[in-house]
Order: sequence, then structure tokens, then C-alpha cells
Amino acid sequence: MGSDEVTSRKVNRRAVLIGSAAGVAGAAVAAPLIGRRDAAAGPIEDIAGQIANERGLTPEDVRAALKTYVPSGRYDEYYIFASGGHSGQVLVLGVPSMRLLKVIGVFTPEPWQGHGFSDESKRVLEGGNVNGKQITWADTHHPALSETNGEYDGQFLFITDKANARLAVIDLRDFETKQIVKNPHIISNHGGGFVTPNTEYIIDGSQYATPVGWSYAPLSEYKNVYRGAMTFWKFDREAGRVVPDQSFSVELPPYWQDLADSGKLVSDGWMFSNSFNTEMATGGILEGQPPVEAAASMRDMDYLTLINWRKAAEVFAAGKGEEINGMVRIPLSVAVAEGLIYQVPEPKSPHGVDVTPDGKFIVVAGKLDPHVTIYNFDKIQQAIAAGNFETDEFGVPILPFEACVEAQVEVGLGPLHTQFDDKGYAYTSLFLDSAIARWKIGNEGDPGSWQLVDKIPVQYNVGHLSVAEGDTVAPKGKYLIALNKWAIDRFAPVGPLHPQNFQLIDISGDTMQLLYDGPIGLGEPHYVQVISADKVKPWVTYPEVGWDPISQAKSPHAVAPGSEGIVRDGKKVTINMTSVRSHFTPDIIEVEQGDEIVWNITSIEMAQDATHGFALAGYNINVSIEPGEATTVSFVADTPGVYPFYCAEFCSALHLEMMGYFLVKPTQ
Amino acid sequence: MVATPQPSAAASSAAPARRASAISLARLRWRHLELPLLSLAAALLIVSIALPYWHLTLHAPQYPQGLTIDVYVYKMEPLRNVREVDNLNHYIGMIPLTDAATIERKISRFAIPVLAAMAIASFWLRGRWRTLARVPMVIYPVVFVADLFAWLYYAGHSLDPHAPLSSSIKEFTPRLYGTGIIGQFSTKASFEPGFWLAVAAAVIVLVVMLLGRRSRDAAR
Repeated sequence: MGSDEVTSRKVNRRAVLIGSAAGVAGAAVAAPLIGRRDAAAGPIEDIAGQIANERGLTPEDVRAALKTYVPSGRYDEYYIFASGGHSGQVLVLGVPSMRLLKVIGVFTPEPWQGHGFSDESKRVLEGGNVNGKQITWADTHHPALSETNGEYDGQFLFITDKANARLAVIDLRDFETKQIVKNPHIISNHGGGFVTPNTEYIIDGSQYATPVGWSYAPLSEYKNVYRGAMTFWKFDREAGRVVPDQSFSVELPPYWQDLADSGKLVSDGWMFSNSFNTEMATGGILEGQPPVEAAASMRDMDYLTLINWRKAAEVFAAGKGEEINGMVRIPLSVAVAEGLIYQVPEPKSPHGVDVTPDGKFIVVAGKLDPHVTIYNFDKIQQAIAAGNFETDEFGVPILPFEACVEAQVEVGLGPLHTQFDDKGYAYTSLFLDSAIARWKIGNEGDPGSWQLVDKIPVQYNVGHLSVAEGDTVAPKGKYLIALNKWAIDRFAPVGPLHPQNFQLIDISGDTMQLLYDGPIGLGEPHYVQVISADKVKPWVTYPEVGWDPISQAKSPHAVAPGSEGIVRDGKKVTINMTSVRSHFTPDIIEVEQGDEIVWNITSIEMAQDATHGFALAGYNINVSIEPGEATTVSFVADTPGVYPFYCAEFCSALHLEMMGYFLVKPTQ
Repeated sequence: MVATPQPSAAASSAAPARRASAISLARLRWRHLELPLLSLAAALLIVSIALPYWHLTLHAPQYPQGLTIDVYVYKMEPLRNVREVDNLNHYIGMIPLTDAATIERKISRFAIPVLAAMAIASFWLRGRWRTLARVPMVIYPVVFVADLFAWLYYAGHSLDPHAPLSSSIKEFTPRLYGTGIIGQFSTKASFEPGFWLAVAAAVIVLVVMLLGRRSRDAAR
């Protein structure tokens, strides 16, 4: 589309006709509907023209509108699984509509789903405790979809918490969190939530170096004691759980690891992680030291870390690691001796590292360098085989830069992350330029064939980007999401704390086109993965009545209709309750102050969407009882009084009547 | 089945001299056909157990796919829809579907093969016993419809006066066949292949009875 059309805000019908030709074709299905609603309006292009004129829309606006509108009852083509940022949750959105479909409670209690209120979900959250301390937020960073043969399989979603180096497992049969694990070796992560091509492992790389296992050592001991680690969480797909006993870490020098990616196809078995702060700066502004931002950016080169994870798993299995905090770590000396770890210099303080769909090339985005640097996996292997390398002060081999590099492409200022489409293009986010660069993946041995093709401005300060299935062996292309940190003037003002801006970009054509601005009203929704909707096949109700969503099996505490009742055993009172529109059975519960309450609730509903809530006044309890779900809440009835409980989901016309009384008699 | 009436139809207009031989020919053929026809009818009836007899679809705005229930002689499916209909019915004080026709559903799987076996056994019976062994299968579809209607009538006329929505719904009989409206629901009822197989079986047995009698009358 020509720039002259972009500049003319007021458009005539002809311009709309030309500009929106593609979109009109796409919307032809809707024509009879529109025609019915406004019979006098005439052909679809007249309607589009009239509305465009009334609202002052450009042809590009009309095209974007027609490409993103999803009529009532029709589904989106793709799901976005987005980090919920500081909320500690995961957001699910649809593409191209960008409608919010769900917020999944993960690291933070989430009342709607009863996440962190039911006994079962409390145990999940407790898995994320740090030194016994409950952490009720997370800096959720990188969601990662499970893969089979390098392609998304739509079964599981993993997400990391940078602040506390934790990892959560979400089962995509019911979109609920099943497990949270705390990394026993590191306190903060960043290169985390990246799966190996068959989800054998989930990679979790440290960010800031600290003494291993959350212990103490003064900063003066930085080089001696502080270390990084690359953790490989073993995933048991059958059980749907990470298995800490079969997981391990590889000790790393005290550089700060940034992003990571798994090799695929030819490079399968290896993983790659960028490091920065090879200067090993630790700050000290008041002590007269330069701040970290300057001190960690002094060297021209940092290191791309290469780990042979498949071989590392063998070394781990051979018992060559040491146990720290209950999980095995392979010492750096062993990793070097066994040939598990190498480094290649890379331009200063790079950010993203991303492997091309064919697995042959590793793309490093410069951040402080305006290039993406492309490494050739074969050349790296040859350099390793040649054995001609120096080592850093920790004994880690450093392969020669020139021997490993395939090409460099100058893409613009502040390149951070790269993903790929189905047409041989790569897309790199440019933070400083506030733009997305599209560049051509070139041919091996022909550095000139790697070229910048196109750029599109985004609003503003883009961090991650994501192309539909763009980090797999088979990217879908078509859509790109730019995850912009700043929105500035894009939305109606809502106070000093602005939403962030997920921008949907159409990458199907010769030039990229901005389609939609999606405001995200929570902090730092860091990264997303985009998957074809047809790969995700969730249940619409639980498979049978009495289902425990955490164990994904029939609950031993399920209550069958007819078996409801209250069982007292000393001070322990077990309430076996069913819920169905529009009553709880039993609905009068009388206990003594100090009784230990175990409240088993089963929804005997089987109808889609017939969800009940269970809200109990005074005791901070609100759980979700979805059709078929069995859940339990336990607490001590320590405060006497009369507490109504009720269904907190508007379940039926007699929803308000769906209540009961919980009476706690004073012991005096 | 199609061929058997033809000789007797032809016989009625044929010359008296040829009539006796035509009848004996028909009777000869008839004796050969009677057991296969009774067996066919019995088989159809037994197969009908595995098929739905009656179908109900409820439509309301919040059930865009409709709530469908298939009624078999011994079960109702799918369970989740039966539960949902029961759930909805409790608001107007109607008995649960699962409480209706419990005896019928319990015995049908055993009673129906007995009917079928009786019809086959009738081949070796004579006179009144033969008729008695065949009649149940002939009237079975009528009994099914009458029983279904009785239960529908009972369900619609025994509404619990204390039900939440009892004041907004008067006594009624849900439609046995065709469309109706109850509250925000439009209902559509229809008879299904199982029922039609039972009807076909009944018709076959009836034809056997009539033709058997006719051929005997003719022979006499």
C-alpha cells in the first residue's frame, strides 16, 4: 500500500475500494448478515466506504479492521499464551481479534479459579515457596509450549518466574496450573521456559550470579563463590509433571546468563544461552564504582554459551554431579572435562539467542550492537573438533569468533529478539528504534545473501516479539505480535501507570502492516507464544463427576449425590457437600469454635459452563467448582459467629438462593 | 412378503377350476414362508433394543446446540443431557427422567426377547395358543406409545407445588410427537429407528396372522 494513501485521512469510496479489496474478499461471508441488518445500505463496499467516511478511517484502517474482526460465535485462528507479568498469571488471548479469553492463576492466588484457596491448589503454590516463605507474586517471563519433534503439540504450557527462579506447569486440557517448582540452585532466572524439541527438558538459566543454593557470601567473594547455572528440568509427559529427582544443573561462570534456546534438527542435543556482564561487575555507586549499567557494558565482546545437554544428561546419569539442596549440579570442571560446555565471543551484551527453523543457524541479537550475528552450527562443531581454543579464567573453552560466524546483518538499533516465518524471513525486535526488522535468512557460505528487507515502526519500545509458531521447526507466519513496553499515547489515559501494548502485525504480505493495538492492563507481560487454535483441544467440562483437577483423576474425596453429610471425628469435622443448580447439600453446617473443618465439595453438574462458586464469609475462602470438579477446603473454625456461604458464580435464575449457613458456636 | 399376497389376489379372479390348485400352491409357499417371516420379525424386534425409540430435543437461547435425549427401551442417553434436563425440571417440580418408567426400563431387555421367542415358538403351536403367542408382539408398539404417553402425562400432572417455579407453570402434557413450548424451551419429539423396527416387526407378525388364517380359511 502506498504511503500517499496512508497520509490522506479522509478517503473517498474509490480509495476504500482499492485499499480494502483484500479485506472485502475476506469479509464476503458476512455480506448477507450486514445486508439484512441494513437493507438500504447496498453492496458491502458501499457500507465499508460509508462507515470509513463517517469515522474518518483510512484504507489501511479499513483493511486492518476487516482482518481482525471476528464475528460473534466464530473462533480465533490462534491462541496467544502470554506472560501475565507481575500478576504472576498467564493470559490467553485470541488472534486476530486480540480478545482476552482467560487469565490462568499460576504463581499468585487467583480467586475466580479458587487458585490458592482450595487445599489442592494451595499445595501447588507451596511448591513455589522459597526457604519456606510463601511468595504470592511472580515476574512471569517466558511461557513455553510443549513440543513434539520441534513443533508445538498443544498439551502443556510452562512459565518461569524470573524473580525467584521458579517454573510452573499448566495442563492445556483444563488450562490450570498443576505444579510449581523452585530451582534449588539459583535465586533468579531469565533464560527459562525453553523446551527441548521433544520436551525432554525445560531449560532454566540463571540471571544474576549468586552463591549457589541461595547461601551467603560477600560480594568480595564474587569470582570465587558466585556462580551461574543452567538447569535442565526433566519433564514426565505422562504424569504431566516436572521430576526434580531426574533434573540437574550445569555450573556456569559468574557471568549473567540472558536468553536461551534449544537446538533443533541438526543442532538437536545442544542448547545456547547468551551471557553478559563477563566484566563481572557488581555495582557500588556509593562506593565510588561505576553503576552496573556501565561497568557491565565495557567489554566489546561477551560469550555465547553452548551446552551439549544430551551429553550432560549422560554425565548426570553416570553420577558425576554433586547434590546441592536436593538436586544434582554438574561442576564446571566436570562440564569442561567432559566437553559439555563451550563459549563463542559475541558482540557486547547481546540479548536474544534464537535458532533458525532448520536448526543450522544461531541468531544472536546485539542489543548494544546494531547487528544480528549469525553463527553456523556446523562451523561450531568443526571448531570444537579442531580443538584450537583459548579458555576463560574459569577454564571454559572459547571458540574463535571468526571460525563460527556465518554472517552479520545490520538491522537497526537495540536488536533484542528474533523469530521466523514460513517464507524464509526472520524478524528482529528493535528496542531503541521502536521497530520490527524483517530480514532474509541467507545461504550458507554467502554472507551477502543475508539482508535486511523491511522495517515497520511499533508503538513503543518493543521487547519480545512472537510469530505464529515462530520458534518451532515449522513456523506458520501470517501474524506477528510486538510486545511493546510503552504505550505513551496509544490509549485513553488511565493515570501515570500506563498499559502495555501488544501490537498485532500482518506479515503475510510483501510489506508488514499494523493491524491492532491491544492494551494489556498489567505489569510487564513479558513474552508470548502463539499456537494454531486447532492444536489446543481442551475439555469443556471435566471428564466425569468427582474429578480432581490437580491429579487429573477421580478424587478420593468426591461426594456422590445421596452420600452428602457431616461427619464428626473428635474436633475434626468433615463436610461432604454437593453443588448443583441451585442448592448446596447440606446447607446448614453447625460446628463448635476450634473445630478443624475439612469441606469436600463436588459439583454434580455436567452441563457446559454451569460453574458454581463457593464463597464463605469471614474465612477468606472462595473456590471454583466447575462442572464435575471435586475440591476441598480445610481451615480451623476459630472465630465464632454465623457465616453465610453462597454460590459466587451467577449460575442460574435462583443463584441468590444458592446459599447456606455455617454456624460456629462459641466454646464458652 | 411382497410376493405372498399375489397368488391369492390372482386366485380371487381366476376360474374355479384352477382355484384349488392355486390355493394349494399358495398354501405350500406360505408354509415355507411363515417361519422365516416370524424369525425376521423377532430379529427386528431384538435389534430394536439397541436403537433409540424416541427422541427429544430441547432448544433455548443458552443451549445453542440444543439438549438432545435419546430414549431406548432400557436407557436414556447421553447422561449429561439427562442430568441437565432433570436439573431444569426440578425448577418446575417435575419428576426426574430417571424416576420415570423404571420397571419398564428394568425388564425391557429381558421381556422383549421373550416376546420375540414367543412369536417364533408360535409356529409350532396351534389354535388359541398360537394367537396368544403372537398378539403381544403385534400390540407391543401400541403399548410402548401408550406407556410413554402415560408417563409424559404423569410427569406433567404431578408437578411439585413447592418447586421454585411452580407458580409460573401450569400442568401440561409434554408432546409425544412434534413440537411444543415449555417456558423458554421449544421441544421437538420424534419416534426413532428402534420404534419403527418394532412397528415393522409387529406388522410382519400381523400379516403372518392374517394370511395364515386366510390361507387356512381358504383351504377349509
